Amino acid sequence: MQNTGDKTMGMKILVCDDDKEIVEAISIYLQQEEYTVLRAYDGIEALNILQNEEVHLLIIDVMMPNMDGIHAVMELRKESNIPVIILSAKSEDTDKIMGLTIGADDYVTKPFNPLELIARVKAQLRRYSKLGSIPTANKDVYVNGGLVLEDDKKLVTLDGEPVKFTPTEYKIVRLLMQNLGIVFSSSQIYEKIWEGDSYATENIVSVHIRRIREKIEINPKEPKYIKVMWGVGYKMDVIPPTQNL
Amino acid sequence: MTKSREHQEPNPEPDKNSEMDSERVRDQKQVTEDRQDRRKRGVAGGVLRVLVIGLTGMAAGVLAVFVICMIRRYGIKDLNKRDYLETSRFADSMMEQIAELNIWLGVAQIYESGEDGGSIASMDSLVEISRASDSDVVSLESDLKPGIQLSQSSSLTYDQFVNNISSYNYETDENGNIYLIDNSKEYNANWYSSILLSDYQLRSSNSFIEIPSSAYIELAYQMMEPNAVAVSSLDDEALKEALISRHYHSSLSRVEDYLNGNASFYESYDSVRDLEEDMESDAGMMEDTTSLNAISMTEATTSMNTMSTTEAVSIEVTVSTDDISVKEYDDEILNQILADVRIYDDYLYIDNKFSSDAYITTISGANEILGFDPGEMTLVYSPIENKFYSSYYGWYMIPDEIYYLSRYIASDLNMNLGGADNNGKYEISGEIPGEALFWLPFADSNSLLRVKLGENYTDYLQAERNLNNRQQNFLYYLERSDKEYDNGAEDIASLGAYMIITKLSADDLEAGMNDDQGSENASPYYTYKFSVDDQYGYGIQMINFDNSYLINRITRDWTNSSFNMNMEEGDRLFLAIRPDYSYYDEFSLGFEQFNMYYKYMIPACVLVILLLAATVVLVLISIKRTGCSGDSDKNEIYFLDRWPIEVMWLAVFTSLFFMVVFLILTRNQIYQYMVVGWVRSNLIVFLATCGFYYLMVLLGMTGFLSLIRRLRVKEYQKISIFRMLGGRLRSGLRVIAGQRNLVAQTVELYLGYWLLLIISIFMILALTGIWPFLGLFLFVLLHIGMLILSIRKAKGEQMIRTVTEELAAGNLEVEVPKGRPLEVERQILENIEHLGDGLHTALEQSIYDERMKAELITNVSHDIKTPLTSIINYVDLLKREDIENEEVRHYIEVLDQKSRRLKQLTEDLVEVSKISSGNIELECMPIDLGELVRQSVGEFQDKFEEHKLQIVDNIAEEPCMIFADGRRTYRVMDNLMQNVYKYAMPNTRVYIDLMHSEETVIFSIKNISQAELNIDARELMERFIRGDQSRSTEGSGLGLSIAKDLVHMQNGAFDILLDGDLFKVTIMFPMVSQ
Repeated sequence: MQNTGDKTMGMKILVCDDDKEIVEAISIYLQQEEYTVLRAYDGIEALNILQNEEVHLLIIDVMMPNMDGIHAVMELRKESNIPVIILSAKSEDTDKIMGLTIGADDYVTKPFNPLELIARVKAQLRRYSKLGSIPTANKDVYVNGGLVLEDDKKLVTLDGEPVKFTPTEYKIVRLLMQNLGIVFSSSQIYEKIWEGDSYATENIVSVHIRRIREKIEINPKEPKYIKVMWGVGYKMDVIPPTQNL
Repeated sequence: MTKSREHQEPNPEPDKNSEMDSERVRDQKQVTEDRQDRRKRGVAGGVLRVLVIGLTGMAAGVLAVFVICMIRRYGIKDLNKRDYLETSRFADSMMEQIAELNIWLGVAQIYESGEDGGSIASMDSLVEISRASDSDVVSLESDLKPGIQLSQSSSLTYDQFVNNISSYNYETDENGNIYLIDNSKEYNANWYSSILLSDYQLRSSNSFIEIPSSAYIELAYQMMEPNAVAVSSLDDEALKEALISRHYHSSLSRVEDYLNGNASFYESYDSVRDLEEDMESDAGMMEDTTSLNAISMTEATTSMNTMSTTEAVSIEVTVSTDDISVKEYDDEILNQILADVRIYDDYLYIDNKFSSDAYITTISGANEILGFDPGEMTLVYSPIENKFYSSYYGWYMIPDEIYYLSRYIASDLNMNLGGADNNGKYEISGEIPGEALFWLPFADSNSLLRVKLGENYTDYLQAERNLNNRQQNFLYYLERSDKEYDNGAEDIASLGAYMIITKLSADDLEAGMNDDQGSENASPYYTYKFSVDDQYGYGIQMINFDNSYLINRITRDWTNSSFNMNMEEGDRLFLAIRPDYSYYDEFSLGFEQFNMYYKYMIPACVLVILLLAATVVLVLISIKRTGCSGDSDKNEIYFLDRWPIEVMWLAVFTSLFFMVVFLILTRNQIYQYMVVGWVRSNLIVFLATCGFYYLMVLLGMTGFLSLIRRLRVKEYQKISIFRMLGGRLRSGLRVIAGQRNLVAQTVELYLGYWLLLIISIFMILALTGIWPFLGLFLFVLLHIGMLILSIRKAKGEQMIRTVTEELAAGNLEVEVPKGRPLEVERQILENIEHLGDGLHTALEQSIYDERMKAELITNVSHDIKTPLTSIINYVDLLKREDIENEEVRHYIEVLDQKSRRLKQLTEDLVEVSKISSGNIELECMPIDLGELVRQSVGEFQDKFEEHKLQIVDNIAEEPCMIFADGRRTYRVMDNLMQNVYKYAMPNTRVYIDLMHSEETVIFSIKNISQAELNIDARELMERFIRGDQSRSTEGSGLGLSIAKDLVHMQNGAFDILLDGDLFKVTIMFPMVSQ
């Protein structure tokens, strides 16, 4: 979503899918973002390339001839921990869990929005390159996955990129980040943020939450940070720094 | 087999090979033949063994019987080992016989007026006929004592008896005499036995008996009335002489001796023979007839002429012709007699018409003999023997005393038998003396009508007769306790050994064992005591004739006489066998035979033991060897063993049963042949018996050995008729019951029940004999049967209920509970089981189908997604191209829209198929629907604003908790919002309401449709249907359907209301407490 400019220069991304058109289309998008794209059409080919070349990110399909994506990722994970985005037509929850369990960093279902894919690629690369340089030890700094809130600076960064919030949004994000994993109902959030009675809160909280999600989530409908507990409330899940979900 | 092998193998050395083969064949053949031979030999050996077993067994049995018989007899013979048991049995059974003897004595006494009834009154008189004055009719007074019973053999009841007596007409003449007029010509033979002398007289002479007006007749009708035989007053010498000399029934020579050279008799005898011829020639008939008559009369007057007093009765046997007085009959009578005389061989027969004389009569009820009229007893006179014979028991001799005495009376009373009065009736004139003895052959010929004249003499005659009138070794004598006698018993005893049977008095019975005579055999159970006195040196020798035989002999003798068999207390019955066997009879023969065979007894014993041992050994060998003839390790089965096992059991039991029964029945036959071999006909019986035993042993052994073989080969025990019948019956009934129409079956059962019920009730109502019991039994049986049937039926129905309940509860894989229901219920249960299985299969099939469909859709959607990805990507790429042409840009826009829609469709399709196939899992938890609605609205707020849709929400403040899956419920909300977003008319208000009652949470969303709602609300919820058919811009048309399904899955209600352009969706969930 954001033009990262020459930061991406020289990054090698391996795209692996048995459908050559898809590989081509993805390549076009990635090349537009000035990434170097390597192409593979099955798992074995991908693994060969990964052995021979220095690849920074892998986009791999699941259902492929010779060796499928799952096995390829499993093989890859024995040696390398480069970011892997699985690209699959399988949209079941079980499929996603399966893919993430074996070591993939992200799971994108077909048909995908090319821009979303690019965004995810970028996010993964950012996280990959900045891993280990996340500020800690400051007690006013709240970190959750790629999201860092520095309260003293009133600054929120996502994967190193600053995110702009309205003051209310900022307060909500801070509340949730201060209470990771704790569910707040709409009225609780309202009482804490607006510091008033929750009477006639209407939809203010949910509207704000949705807007926050649109700012920090790549796909707001499948939020990574701010989870909607339908009928209960909202919470921010604890995301370990090494894993990007 | 070997042949084919030869064909298949073309050997280089065919000769050698075939030789070997043929050798093997020969060997095999040899083995088979050997085996067959052995088997044959084994079977033959078995058969032979059984045959020999039969032989030895039979021989052992027969010999054993012989030995037992010999030992028995030896025991009797030997005084010291006297078989008391045997004799006690004898005495017992004899007493039974005696008690059964129904010897009837009709006793009548005619007394002078004023005379005391005397001894006869002490008897149990039945009827007294007395006449007080001339004008009185004779009155009958019944004085039947209750203890007296009428004869069993008599058909006459007491009433009949009285009636018969009273049916006499009495006539009185001018002298005051009463005449009994016999108008009744019908007499029952049995009735005679109870009727009077007068009656007899009347009948026999066709005349009246005159009864003086002052006399009365006492009738006694009794059975076994005690009479005494007293021989004490007899002169011993005279008695002995009488006993010895009287052999009336013997041969002609004895008669000759007896008659002692009566010249006229012999002449008469000759003349009879002449007469025979003469009669045929019809010459000089008159004179000869007269002489014949004379002869008979001669004999009649020959015998006794003295009998004067009652105290000292002496018998003078005078055998001379001096006293012969010929009674002259007039010609008319003689002619009459002659007309009735027939001559047969050496005997002269006098027909029944010769009845004018008092002592020769016909008696009805006799046998059929020699061409004489059957049914009548014929008297035959033998001039050679000078005897009268009756035909009743064959040629039964009329006892002499009857003959003599009747003659005597006739003369003594000075009866005028010759003259008939004007009325054609004979009249007895003269006077009846105070005491007279009058014997006459009585009706049944076994008993005598006795008129009391001289008791002692009668007794003497009886004793004499019993002792001497049979030339036999068996003797008996009854000693009366109420008679004094000095030496009578001893006299008899002196003739040989004897056994005494005493009837015990009540005191004796109480005294029991204290009696010194034969006390060991006196017991409370015997009213009779018997004792055997050893002092005479011999015991009773019953030898080995049946007791019944002995009894028959005694009773025959007794029944031939008037000897009173009824033993009184203290009476003693003396039984004796002549020790010297002086007569040739069964006893002497048996004695001879015993002596002859006795020496074989010990060898026989040894032989029996040997034979028995041999039999046992053979049986054991047979048991061991049977079925093992061929191969010792293999049990063989013969054709007999394929027969039902019941046949074998039947054979064994039949054999045992008949062997035991026939041993009991025929032991005497065996004995009689072996010991009393003189009975020739017994040879056949003996051989037949042996043969039968033999067959029985064969039969039993055959069956027994088959059973033994079956013991070894168990499955042959199952060949059973009962097993077979039982199985067939059961399966047959099952088939019948299973195929029949149930209604018909029920009706038949009901009818059958009623039929049997009615039959049983009728049987009960019969109330006679065994029928009520049978009826009751049937009744009870019927109802027990019905009860059992009902219970079994109810059990079956219970099972059906259990099974159907389970089925209804949803358990399609029902299992029929264990039990044995009736056929109909069994079928129903079977069908239910099949039904359950069918349903189960169908359901599984449909679930499987749904799953398959969902899977198919999912897979297809995967396959669609991949190309769709390319389409979307390249459309997007196209869009990025800087295209001048407006039309092309428009085309690309269309492509973009359609590809997105395709994407949406694909996703919804998968969702729908998953939901409808139940392939999703709900994660239900209590959630606040209000919160959820707010969240949802928040998600769509911006979108609604895009379309200028104003949300008017009315959400309850308090939590509305429902139990649901939040994500799925959001999906419902999402779909509804999407729907509103897409189809609501811009610039309108959207009403969102959430309220709750006690139990329900109600959510509704209302909007105004942009397009005309030309469709049914129900159809809207169906898949792939949208409000406006023409509109196909966005959405899959599955949204409402998915929403509805998801709500339903979470126990909610989903309803769509269309009212004009108003579109309203209402969702209701059950509320849960917080």
